[in-house]
Amino acid sequence: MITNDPNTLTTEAPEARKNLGAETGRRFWRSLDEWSSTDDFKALIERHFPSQLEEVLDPVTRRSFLKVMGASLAFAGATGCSPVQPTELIYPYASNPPAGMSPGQPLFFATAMPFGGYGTGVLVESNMGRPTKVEGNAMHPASLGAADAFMQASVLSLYDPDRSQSVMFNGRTGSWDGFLAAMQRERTKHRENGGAGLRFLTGPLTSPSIVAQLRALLGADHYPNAKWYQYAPVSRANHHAASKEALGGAFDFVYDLAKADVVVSIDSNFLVEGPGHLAYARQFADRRRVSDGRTEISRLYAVESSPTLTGANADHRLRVKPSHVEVVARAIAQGAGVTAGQGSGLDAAAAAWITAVSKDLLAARGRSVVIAGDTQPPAVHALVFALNQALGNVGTTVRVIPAVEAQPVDHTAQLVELTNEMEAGAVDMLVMFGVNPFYDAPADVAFAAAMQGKVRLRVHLGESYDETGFLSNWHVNAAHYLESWGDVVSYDGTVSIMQPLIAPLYDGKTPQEVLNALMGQGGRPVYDLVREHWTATVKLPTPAEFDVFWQKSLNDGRVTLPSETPAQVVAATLGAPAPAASGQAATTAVRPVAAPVSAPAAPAVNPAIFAQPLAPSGDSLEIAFRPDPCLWDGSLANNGWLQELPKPLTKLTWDNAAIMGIRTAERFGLVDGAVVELGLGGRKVTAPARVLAGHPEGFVTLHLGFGRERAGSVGNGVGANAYALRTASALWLASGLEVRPTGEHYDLAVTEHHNMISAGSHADEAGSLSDHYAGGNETVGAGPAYVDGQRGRELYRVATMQEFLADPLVFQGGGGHGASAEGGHEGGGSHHPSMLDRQFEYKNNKWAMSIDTQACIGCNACVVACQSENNIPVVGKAQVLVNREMHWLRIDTYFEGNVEDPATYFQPVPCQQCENAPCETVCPVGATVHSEEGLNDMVYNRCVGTRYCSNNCPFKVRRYNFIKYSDQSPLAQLRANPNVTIRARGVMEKCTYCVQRIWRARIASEIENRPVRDGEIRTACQQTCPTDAIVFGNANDHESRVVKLKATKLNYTLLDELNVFPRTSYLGRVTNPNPELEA
Amino acid sequence: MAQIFHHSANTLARTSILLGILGAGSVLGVMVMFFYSSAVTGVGEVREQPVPFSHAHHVGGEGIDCRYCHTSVESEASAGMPSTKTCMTCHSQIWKDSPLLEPVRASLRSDRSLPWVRVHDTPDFAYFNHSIHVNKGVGCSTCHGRLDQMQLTFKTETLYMQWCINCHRNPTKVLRPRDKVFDLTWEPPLNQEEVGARLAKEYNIPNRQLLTSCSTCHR
Repeated sequence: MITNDPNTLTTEAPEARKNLGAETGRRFWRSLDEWSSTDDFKALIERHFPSQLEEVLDPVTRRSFLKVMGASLAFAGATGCSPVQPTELIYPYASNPPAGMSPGQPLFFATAMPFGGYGTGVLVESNMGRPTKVEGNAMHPASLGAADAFMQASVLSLYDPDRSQSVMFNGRTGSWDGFLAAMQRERTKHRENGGAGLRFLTGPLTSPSIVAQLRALLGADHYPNAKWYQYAPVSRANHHAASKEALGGAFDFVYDLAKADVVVSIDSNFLVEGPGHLAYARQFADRRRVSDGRTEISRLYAVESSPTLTGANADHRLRVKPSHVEVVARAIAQGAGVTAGQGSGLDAAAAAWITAVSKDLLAARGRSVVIAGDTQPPAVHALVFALNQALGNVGTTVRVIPAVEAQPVDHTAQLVELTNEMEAGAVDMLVMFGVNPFYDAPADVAFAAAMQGKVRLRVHLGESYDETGFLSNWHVNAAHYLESWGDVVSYDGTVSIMQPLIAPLYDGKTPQEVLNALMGQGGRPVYDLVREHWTATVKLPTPAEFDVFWQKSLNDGRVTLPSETPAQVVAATLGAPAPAASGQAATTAVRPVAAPVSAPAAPAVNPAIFAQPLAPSGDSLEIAFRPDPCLWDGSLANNGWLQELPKPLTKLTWDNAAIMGIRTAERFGLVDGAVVELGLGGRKVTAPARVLAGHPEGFVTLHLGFGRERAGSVGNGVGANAYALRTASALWLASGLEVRPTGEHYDLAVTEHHNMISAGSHADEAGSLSDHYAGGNETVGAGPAYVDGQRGRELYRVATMQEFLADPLVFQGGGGHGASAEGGHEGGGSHHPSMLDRQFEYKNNKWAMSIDTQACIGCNACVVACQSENNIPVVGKAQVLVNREMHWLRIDTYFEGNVEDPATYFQPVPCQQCENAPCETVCPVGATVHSEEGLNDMVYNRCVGTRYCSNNCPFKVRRYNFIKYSDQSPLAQLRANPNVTIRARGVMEKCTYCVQRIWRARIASEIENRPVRDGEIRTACQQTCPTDAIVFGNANDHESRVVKLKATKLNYTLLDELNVFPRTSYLGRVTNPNPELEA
Repeated sequence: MAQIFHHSANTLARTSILLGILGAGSVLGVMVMFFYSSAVTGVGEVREQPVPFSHAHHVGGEGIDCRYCHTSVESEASAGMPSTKTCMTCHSQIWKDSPLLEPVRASLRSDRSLPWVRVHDTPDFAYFNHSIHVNKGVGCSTCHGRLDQMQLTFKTETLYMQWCINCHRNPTKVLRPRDKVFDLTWEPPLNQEEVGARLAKEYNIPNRQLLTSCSTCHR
């Protein structure tokens, strides 16, 4: 089943991959097309900018050309007609402005973003009262100063014009007062029988105030006979089921990867998904950071089915079918001393792999971690916990805490139960909070029909008037988290009180307010409710002391309880189950109930759960459902930034696809974009295929979150709805998939071939400039697209720790002569002599950047952060298809080695800020020029749009506004960063090193008459990076971090041979493979 | 064949060429004059305001410091416009019944802004910052003129890029000692070049190249 031998590849490959299995001599490749060197690919590389050629080929008639040109000329003249600026008004405050509020001066407020019920601390930038950018909160343990792509994009959702803007009643605009009156009537009615016909449906909840309210509602004073159900399509239900069954209670595990020498991921994507992933990513990266002189780094093994970023970052990855993950997990456990039922179906290579992993785990007792993914069945979670226990990891690298979720449940079972109740007519009134089961319920749960047909009154609170809201009687528009008071708990039990950044734009309501309406006290503001809850929780003797507590909690973005608070009181109020062993709670902990349960108190795992032998079928085609890396469960479908964000590995935008491996594709004769009909148990969905190198064979991955019908203008009708195939018994994995090619083709907007650096062609230019300019163009692209076999000229550089220790100059060009820091230029120092050297002297600041490819996990947070900070527009699928996405920062993905089991690497590429910038010399109007501090300035007002600069850019980092991409609607203007120009049509743009942030810090330093401190300026990408992979600073300050990083032997620059002297340089990647597994 | 054109056609042709050149020149000249005229630049033009506020009276007459109202001028990009409350610190005591001040009182009563018409309007793509100029010895009157003599506020400079760049190329002409920054009556001394050069050093004014780098003002 698992094979790594390319010789066994089938020969009846489709034309597009005719070289499959042949030796290409290439070390790195960026796509299957490149790997197999198709003619199409060669042509693509040759053209550099495919979109431009298509433009020339456009069937534009001479007549329409003249028409357009005539109009353009006329309008070009007309632009000069209004030299007088329009009158502007200044609106000063009537009463005194809030402290620090000033135009152009951002303020930052701490709050927390709930995601899947779990909170992560954020700092939100507010410009004149408008939240414009989300950053991480360094004081919050789940953020550590970083933010992921979802957090970065959340600010766009706030200003989404498709958000629900009013209360709706039976499809017509209603009012909040009307809703309150209706709830008062319902209350009277339902109180009679104790709420026997009343049901609540929420997502996973950690919010202490909401849970306290719910519990009160279900108490004797209100509706003792009502029930509370929870449902989320993506949840940690399997994990909790395992902990209940195996440990006798709901527990969460908190890992400390900083102490782990060996990490094993069992189909887990802990680096980029799930509660606490930002902290895990930081710990993991810190433990492997070579740039600070570390010579012993941790080793990551990943067993995985659908390729994830965690697998891509692993030193060793075992690719198996989803059903075989458990077999591998059992075998590893068996090898490491846990008695588990045997599984079957593994081949010899896998067995060797597993033996090596078990051995490594045993050698690192107490210094290892095994992590199971949330998509894995409960048995695997139980097994993994038993394994951690056997290895002595519990108490060192694994901390056991009472579950953070207030009431961990099996979400699907709850939805089924609720549906049964509705079908039986037991439900009179259903109140739903932020859930959308009409869209995301499993296909075999007839929730929609039961709810529509059998429930008299359906109440829905949601941010958008979505599928479920549309079919509810009452829909209450919910407030965005940036508009809400509230509270939320993070992965490790840290509680945050959320504060709003802005009054609700559409008078949206919070769950607290809706619950309050059902308590018969409707109309009370959420601020009072949350504050009251906390007053009762912390029980401070005086209001003044409470004020101090409240202010500090809001300021820090996390609650620090006064030490004298009795733990039991807090436990009861926070709504979490009491600790398993009583009296263990430390009162000084952030959340006393979440204090670590000491090892003896942790119950032993019941081995009966995984004792049964397991024999998954080897032949049947399977399907794996996974949350989408960009849209998650679909609730983010209307967010343009996330829709257009190239998904990691597949580089797919604006769609999901049936992702499959090469052999599976060949079995059905599929290429990228070939539409297939996926059949499972009689249900059918059509989706285009996407062939991904390294995707294990025998199954198809389909991401959730697409095919929305009522998401809004951005998300409606995008992609295929995976929920239509998903059943309650097979949430993550189903076998018996039928794939039927339809013969149709669908254009997928994949960016893997966009803006590719073509090393080969430029090497030619550098080698024989005269040839190049004398029409030697035919050599471009004909040469190798990669300079292979010549270490030191590769775009991506990677070595094993052993290789690096043996030859520290392994990352340096030409085998070591002319090492980086000795060059005349910072950041690389070319050893290629050139007449074109311009020797500038930078007396003051000299900005430079270092990007650590060792730390980069490819998570995309920087791409969205850049988009948010720099007002980068969304262009839409049609424009992405013609290569016109506008991201200033892209993440190049490189594959290495065997096409079926490649290693995967990531390289973020912003503008390299060359010192001998090729773009500057070709601009006819001086629109891109060098600044005194070495920035490659882009002057939008001068740009006339010749695009010469972008043609001449070897790194392909310039983006052109072919049409008016920028959204200048009033709502979009509210979101925009006021310190960055909104670009017009016909203007080139690119990464500026966040020049607006440089100048903010510069001006502050100049006023204080001091140099800019190192670390004072952080670019948007740097600030959000979970792994601290990006460092920006002054190359003239010899104490700065960036100088120290550039002085390491890991440092290299891209396309060194061109003598352009980029200011951005990279640090090489050092892997830590197990010598036993090195063939 | 008879001549088609009369002899005088030569003169006519020469004259028309000359007139053509002169004409084109004068059209250009008029255009240049137009773009520098107050109709376009707004220099010297008084904008109608909701309240006829007189800087001459408040600053020149009463001697109120600029920073009493423009509070953030030393610390932030925007100099800051006074809130209605600031106006009412005095005007709740004096001129409290003046009909001219009714919009001010109305603003306080209703807690709504009193909208003023912007007189000095830099284009949106230029990111001007007051604090750095004020802290580096560029006085108010350098750009805003003798506000202490203005009954109604008007621009005294074009705010064209050319005008900005003039100073950024050679700031020594306008640099003042720090205690003179808010002195609207300040005139450059005879040895300004010398004083300015000394101040530039003292203030650590960056070199001309940095001051004229594009990203210094455009981002």
